[in-house]
Amino acid sequence: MKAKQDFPSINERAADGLKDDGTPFRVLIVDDSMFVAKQLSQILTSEGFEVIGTAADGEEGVQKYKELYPKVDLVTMDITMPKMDGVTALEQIIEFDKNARIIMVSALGKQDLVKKSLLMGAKNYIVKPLDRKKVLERILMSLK
Amino acid sequence: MRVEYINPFVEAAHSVLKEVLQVDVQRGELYLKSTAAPVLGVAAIIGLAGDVEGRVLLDMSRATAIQVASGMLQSMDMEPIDELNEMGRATITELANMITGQAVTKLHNLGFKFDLTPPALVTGDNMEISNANVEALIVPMEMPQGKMEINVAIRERG
Amino acid sequence: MVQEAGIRQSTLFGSTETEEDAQRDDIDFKMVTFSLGGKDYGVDIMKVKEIAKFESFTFVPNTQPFVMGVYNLRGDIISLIDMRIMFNLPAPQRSDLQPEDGLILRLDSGLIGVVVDRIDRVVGISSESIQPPHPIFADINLKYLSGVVEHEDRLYIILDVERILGETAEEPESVPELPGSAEANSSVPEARDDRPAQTGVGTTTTADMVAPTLHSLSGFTMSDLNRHWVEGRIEEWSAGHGGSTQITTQEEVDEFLAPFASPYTGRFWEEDYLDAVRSLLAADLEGGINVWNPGCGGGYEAYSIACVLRASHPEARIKVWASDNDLLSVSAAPNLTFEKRELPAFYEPFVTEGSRGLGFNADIKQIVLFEFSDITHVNTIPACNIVVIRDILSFLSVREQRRVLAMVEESTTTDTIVISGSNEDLSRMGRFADVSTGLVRAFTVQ
Repeated sequence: MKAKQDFPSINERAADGLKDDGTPFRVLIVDDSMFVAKQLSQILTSEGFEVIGTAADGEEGVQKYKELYPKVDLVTMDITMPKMDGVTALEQIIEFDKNARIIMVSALGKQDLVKKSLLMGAKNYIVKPLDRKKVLERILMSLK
Repeated sequence: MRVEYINPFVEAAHSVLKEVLQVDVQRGELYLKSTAAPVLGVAAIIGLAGDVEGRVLLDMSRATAIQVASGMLQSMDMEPIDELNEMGRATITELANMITGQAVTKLHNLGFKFDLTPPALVTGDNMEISNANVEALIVPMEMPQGKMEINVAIRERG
Repeated sequence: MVQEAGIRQSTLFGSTETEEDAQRDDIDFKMVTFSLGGKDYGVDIMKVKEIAKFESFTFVPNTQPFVMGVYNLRGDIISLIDMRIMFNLPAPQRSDLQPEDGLILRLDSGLIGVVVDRIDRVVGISSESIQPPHPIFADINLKYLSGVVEHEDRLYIILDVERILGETAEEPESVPELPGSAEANSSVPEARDDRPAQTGVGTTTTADMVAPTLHSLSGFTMSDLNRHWVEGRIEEWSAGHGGSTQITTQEEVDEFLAPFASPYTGRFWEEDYLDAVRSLLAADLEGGINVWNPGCGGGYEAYSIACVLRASHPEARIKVWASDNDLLSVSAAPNLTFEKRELPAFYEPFVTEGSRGLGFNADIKQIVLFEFSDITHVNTIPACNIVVIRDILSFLSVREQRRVLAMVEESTTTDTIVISGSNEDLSRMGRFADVSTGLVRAFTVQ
């Protein structure tokens, strides 16, 4: 069921996902849940962002970032993942590119890890269940 | 199960289900079972550690799982499913994550330290009955999509 | 090791042995069973006033052969019928000295006594399982049979005693003046210390007759644990109710059981009880003190034991594991508040003023841990110094009573004190030695 916020406002406004030059921000989604990945992807593409890659665990996430570099404008990073968790992946990506923009995605109950991530260089965080408005707000803040 | 843990789980289940499904969710009467094994067909399990040891699981029939997943997907503008495919499983798993996450946060605010382990989804064919003799608290939730039981089996550590 | 209670408790309250059994079978008909000419028979318990052993009766001539005579039932003169003769069944040689097993029936027409071979026990069944009588099963004319029913591998023929005896139960007006010879025979047989027999044939006492009603209307399970109290209570009841031991309604059951409850049930323990508890506590309980308190209800017991322990052991690490399967009661326990006037002075050092009234301080609150749990689901309990289990065992099935006590035996040391209900005698249920003092019923594990 579409919620009110899913419809564009009556006044035409620039899609959030576009840079000033009109090209879309490119996002790498790192999440072990197919559902969350799809959800995020939908929210982002509906606002003009471009999802240039997805990874299902931290290790794959780091790998993809390096492969796609320097094209990734933003990474959404799930905290709890098998093989390598989001905090470790964050650490490695920042080591590789100190200007990397990463936003953490977490379920409630992981406050300590979120804090740790922010201290280690993550730009912001989003809490699940994903609220479209909040997601876009925080992502845009991270891109400033 | 420690009395203080009950409300957080009951409230989290009700609140999350209501939010993601956008439907009326009725809570049935809580009761205790002598064995914690899931019985309805599909179970999403999240392990708990910290002040306690044990797990929470969402127990439901396959049909309900499909309905609930479809409901969640549709409210996010995604396509419903007609069988429990990978997307369906990921959705139910995510639901378990959300409910447990919210409960754990409430518990954290009450002073209890709980840790979560990554979720797993098991179905009739690969249902393992471990900890069969642990007592479980059952919180039945009734929705238009069917019945779901929140099954909590945790023990104080030490 | 908890043993599966494979002992079939052929207790004389039949199939109300476990609550699960009772629920499963949907028992709505109870009968007193007995043997007659070698076969098993049953009579609706509602028709049975009491079970008796007829020791002496007065022979009355010129009556039908099956009328043995009359019997003095505490002043009432009733006819005594020999069912075996009535139905031409083989009867054992009667010795004048031997008391006969029988029943006092309350029929529409009045009281009547019947003699049988041997009273067996009270059996509960579902009325749906009663089959219509078939001649092959009985030596007695079909018109006198209500039906037949199978129970635990035995076949019982249910007698329609109204039909059989209805007319015979009139007050025998033609009875000649009785010499004062009929011995005043108490028809409440002596309270017996029955260990449940393994073979299923034992002697039935009035307590055994009352027990199924107590169980079905209140959940109270009579066993060795509390039989003694039940028997004493029956005597008391009988004296206060003109000799009657008929207990059938909810009100009667509630009244019967009212004195069973331990002191300070649902309230804070007061000085007299606390003093006795204190005297039981070992002086050297330093280190950790663990208490198990199942059936804590609203928490009064748990807080009482926590405070009395803290008072005598200001430095010790104390933990009280309290639990109950009544969600409403136990979930209010962690935040129990009360008014000053409800609180005995002893507890004042342990409470603080809160927004909703007085409550226990942080120290006491962290001592007691309340759980919503069903004792029948518990498989292990923490090693404990003290167990407070008052009036809980008596409301569990016999199997559960034994199982829980076996768990207690295993998780305790010889120093452990087990505080039971005031009318519960653990020494009859296992290796428990009575160390009761004052108001407190307590045992140690041998």
